[in-house]
Amino acid sequence: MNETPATVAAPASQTSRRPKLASRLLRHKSGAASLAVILIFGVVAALGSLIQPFDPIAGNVVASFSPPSAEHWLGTDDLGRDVLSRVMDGAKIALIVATVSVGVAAIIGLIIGVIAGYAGGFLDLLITRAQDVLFAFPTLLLAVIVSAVLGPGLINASLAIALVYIPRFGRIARSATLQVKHSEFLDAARLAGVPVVRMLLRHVVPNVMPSVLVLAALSVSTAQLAYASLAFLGLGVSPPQADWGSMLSEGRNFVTVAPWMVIAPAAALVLLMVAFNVVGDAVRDVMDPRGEHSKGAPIAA
Amino acid sequence: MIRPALTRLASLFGVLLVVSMLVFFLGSLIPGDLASVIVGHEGATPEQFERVRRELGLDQPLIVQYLNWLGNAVTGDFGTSPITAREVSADIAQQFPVSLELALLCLVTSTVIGVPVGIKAAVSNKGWVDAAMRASLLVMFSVPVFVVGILLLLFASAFAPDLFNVTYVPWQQDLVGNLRSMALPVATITLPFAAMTMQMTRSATLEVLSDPYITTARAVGVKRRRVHYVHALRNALPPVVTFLGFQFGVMMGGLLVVEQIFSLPGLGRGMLDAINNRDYPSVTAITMVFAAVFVVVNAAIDLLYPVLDPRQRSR
Repeated sequence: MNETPATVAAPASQTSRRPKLASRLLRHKSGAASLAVILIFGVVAALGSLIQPFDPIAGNVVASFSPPSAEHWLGTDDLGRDVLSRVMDGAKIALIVATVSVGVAAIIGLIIGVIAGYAGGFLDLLITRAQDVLFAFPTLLLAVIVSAVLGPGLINASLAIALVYIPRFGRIARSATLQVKHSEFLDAARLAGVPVVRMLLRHVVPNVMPSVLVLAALSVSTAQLAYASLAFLGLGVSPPQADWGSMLSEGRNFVTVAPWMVIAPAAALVLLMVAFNVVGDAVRDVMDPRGEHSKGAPIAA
Repeated sequence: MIRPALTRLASLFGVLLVVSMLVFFLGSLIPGDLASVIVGHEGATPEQFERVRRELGLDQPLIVQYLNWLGNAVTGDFGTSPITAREVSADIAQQFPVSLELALLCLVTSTVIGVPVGIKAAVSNKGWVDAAMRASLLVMFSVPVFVVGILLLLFASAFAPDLFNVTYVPWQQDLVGNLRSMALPVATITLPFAAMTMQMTRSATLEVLSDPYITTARAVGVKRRRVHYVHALRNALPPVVTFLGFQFGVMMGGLLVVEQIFSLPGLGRGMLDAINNRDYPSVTAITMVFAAVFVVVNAAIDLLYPVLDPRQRSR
């Protein structure tokens, strides 16, 4: 998840630091363990139908509501679809949304924040005020409204979540920019006649990047939760595509008949969220030993 | 104290105005307008379509539409829902008390649980209390509201059938029945909220416990309990209250989900139904109500701050 924002500008000085960062992350015990969990989800999602025991979409009404058995490890749902296969297929959606939404938000927030911080004046005021208005809105509510406007679907839901997350990235990028704005090395660059765009990319962005990366790492789990909430409310991918959030909302109606329909996706969702959470904290610990970034408020309780 | 309150009030209206514009213009971006919702499904002729559009004022420029809508909205008239053919404000008047009751109950329960436990955790010198709290917090932060809700539903279906699938009754009709229908929804939101309140109270209390005035209070022989629950709490409270204000928006998101799980006829449920039915007047109206409540609550907390902490009062 770290690669996405890093592609904006990866100056040479940063590349040499990255392996060190990765190895420090791997030495972080709980961080490494959680990374392994995420990796397993990733592999399951990537292999897809190769390892899914059944077709996650094809129903078989005769076998509906069968409890967990040797054939269907996690049972079947109301349409006789294999729950295990659907949970495995849902991993793909969860991972895509979490990374895409945070990636988009981080990139746009970084650009907006750096411009606002560096330009100052009226532009800064405009951007900051616009962000304040977005902040003045309960996050899940905003995501629900935006996805209602865009219509349901994987990309639209990701964009809705990204939009909700842009202000916090913009804010952190702006304050980090302000910190370096008047430093001597920037004055030197300015005097040497470095063009503005090049200066922003080569000298400002690398200094802003650590804060943005930490925030991105901390945001992935809440973004995943936000998507699951949207999907639960019927604003995620369209059925019959398997998705944890929508599986939970379908299963809610059969909770007494077939509790396995909700337990399996809930467990997968929580496991991946805990893993993202711990990795996020680990990234913060590793990159920012002072621990001055407080964790962003979760988007949905 | 009056001046900052007034500026706060002014900025409050400013924010609401911008939100109303955003909501209105975003709504106009949705493909297909109100007229298509009303007559579209009956295979209407283009003439009928145009007539409905004219009646609703949809043929006028967007700015004019917005100003008309705003003018009516200020007087509490949000138009008529094309789905239920009822006035939107009448629907909201029914939905609002349900959500309000839910939110207030959650606030009370999470404070009553979270604050004392937080203080207890701060003053306790047993390591396991702290460890248990940290572990439970991680779980609370990682388990989504709707998972908690569904698990509680599952639990209730097995062990507490009295609470399972109860239909909502207004409290004016039957207080016991009402509380029974609210029990699971309130528990669902309270779990994470009590955990967060507990965490905030704990760290705020820890901070003040090392202050000299606490040492003085102890030295002059004030009872332990009184030092913790009166002296320390008094100064630990302001950050906790501010934090609860920040989290209020999260709670409103929680309402959306919880009302859906437990079929409570509140604002969140109304919002989702409106979205699914493309009932634009209701969507915009409910959004405005949510935004107004959120903004007002946060402003109220800002104003409450000097009351809780005399040092914040302007001299």
